[in-house]
Amino acid sequence: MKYEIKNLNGNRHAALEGKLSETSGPHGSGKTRELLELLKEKQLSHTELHMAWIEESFNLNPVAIAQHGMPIEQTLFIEAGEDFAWTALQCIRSGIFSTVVLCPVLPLREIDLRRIQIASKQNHTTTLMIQEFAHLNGGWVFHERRSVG
Amino acid sequence: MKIGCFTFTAPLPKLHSIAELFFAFSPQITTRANQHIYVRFELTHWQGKIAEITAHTARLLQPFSLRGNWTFGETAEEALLLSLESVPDLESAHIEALRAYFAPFTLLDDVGSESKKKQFLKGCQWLHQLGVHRIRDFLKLPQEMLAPRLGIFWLETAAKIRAGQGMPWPVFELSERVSEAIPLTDPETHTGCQDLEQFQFYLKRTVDRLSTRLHTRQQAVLKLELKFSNKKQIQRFELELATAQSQSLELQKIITQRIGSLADRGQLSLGVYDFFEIEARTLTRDRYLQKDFWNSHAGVEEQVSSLIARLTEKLGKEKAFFVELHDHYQPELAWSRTLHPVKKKIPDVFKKIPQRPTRLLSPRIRLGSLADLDCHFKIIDWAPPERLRLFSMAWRESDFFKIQTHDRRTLWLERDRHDGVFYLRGYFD
Repeated sequence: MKYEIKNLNGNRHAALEGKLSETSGPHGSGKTRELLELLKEKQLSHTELHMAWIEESFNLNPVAIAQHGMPIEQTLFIEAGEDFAWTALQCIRSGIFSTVVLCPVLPLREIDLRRIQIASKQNHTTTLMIQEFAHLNGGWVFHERRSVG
Repeated sequence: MKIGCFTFTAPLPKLHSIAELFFAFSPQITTRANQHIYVRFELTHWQGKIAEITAHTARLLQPFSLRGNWTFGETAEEALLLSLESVPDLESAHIEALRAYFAPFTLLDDVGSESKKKQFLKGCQWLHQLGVHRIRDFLKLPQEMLAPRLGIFWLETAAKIRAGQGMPWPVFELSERVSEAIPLTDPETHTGCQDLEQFQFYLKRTVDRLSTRLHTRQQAVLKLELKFSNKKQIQRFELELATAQSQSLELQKIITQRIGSLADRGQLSLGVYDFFEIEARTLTRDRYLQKDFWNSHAGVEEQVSSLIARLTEKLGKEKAFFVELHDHYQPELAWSRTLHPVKKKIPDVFKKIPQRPTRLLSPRIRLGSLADLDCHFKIIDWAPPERLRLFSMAWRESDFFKIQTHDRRTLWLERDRHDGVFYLRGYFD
């Protein structure tokens, strides 16, 4: 497991508030489970965790999420398809969600990543991105980058 | 608890209406001499707060193109003194700075009695003769000598500084009128506003100011008056809003539409006027506050519904959804999509069955027989199989294996008991 962390003090979830972070790794490497552990930690310190989970192509198994102890009734799932960046911005800018999880199939454009980063900062939203391949362009917008597997 | 004193770079003729903006911080505010606004901050932790307060003030004052500085103290007098003298602490200031204690809510010239003012200035002169130039030295003087030699003010001031007590604040009352005005002439070219497109720029600035004031007053407007004027004539239009508004963007849209229709009907000619004023005539509590009064979650629920409506309109039906879990062991039948969050306990079956994969593949990917698996990945560990009876067109039985590959991936394989073929069914991602 490789780590590239710019700033991490105290609780990891607290350090990621208002930030955009990326976890990448091949299918089955455990990146979603790692993210769920982080969310569980966040849930323990918050009374209500409103979350949006945006997938480009939906193959997530909500049962596994529930088995990890996540509050599934407070999670809005979205299958965004081609309008992935637009959907992500809509959810972050709405200010409803404390956490937004993004699962794009292909890397996003640098300008979209920057927009997501700014929206996260303005709305104090923890934006977590998980995907198979790490972004080659626009890596500078991420507060934290992890590579799993 | 601290008192903040915001000092504008220059005195303002309309300080009272600007002071309303500081309600964003606290309802306990008051003003001094068209240049200073005091705010009582009831904060226990101050780390990083001053930077936040400064940034928020800059945002509030941005539509009005105003600037100033914050100073903070235990009392209004101390905060004012630090602002007037630009010194790091109270004790290092000159004794003349004690005019902040003498007249914390008015100017020294406005104290009312000329003799009081003379007494203060005479006291300063006398202290200088004694070699007392700084407040630090003044506080070292024995208290017994202050009243007979300098007067009651100096004795009281020394006691106030030592005890950290201030004078009671004058009451700040909100002005009944909420209005904003702007000249419709370009300051560089001195040409007036000719058409609706040009008017939008003037309107935006005016409505931004009005909206900021409404927000900090936690109010919304129900009726507006638009006033166009020049030296010869004044034209007024009343605008009743269907619902209470406080957002700048919404107000701009409504006003533009109204002015556009007035101009089309020939009732208003924008080119002839050189002044525009907008006044909020009927005010009400902000609608979000009204909702909060009855139900604190109503706002969030409405926002979620509105977001789902927006997303499904663009992405398609059922693309934004909540999940309802069902008491079923079969992966596909264990959950369904729903438009509203369902608050239900996690079904017991999920506690009994083994951990399910986080990603499910549909359709499953055919891998071939046991011998063919090596072509795809090298398996280093197999968990005992879980046998499930599945229904898809017809009943069939399958064994499910959680396997570990050589590249540290965890996969969920399905072996059809009928023909022994292996399929990739999901990932423990």
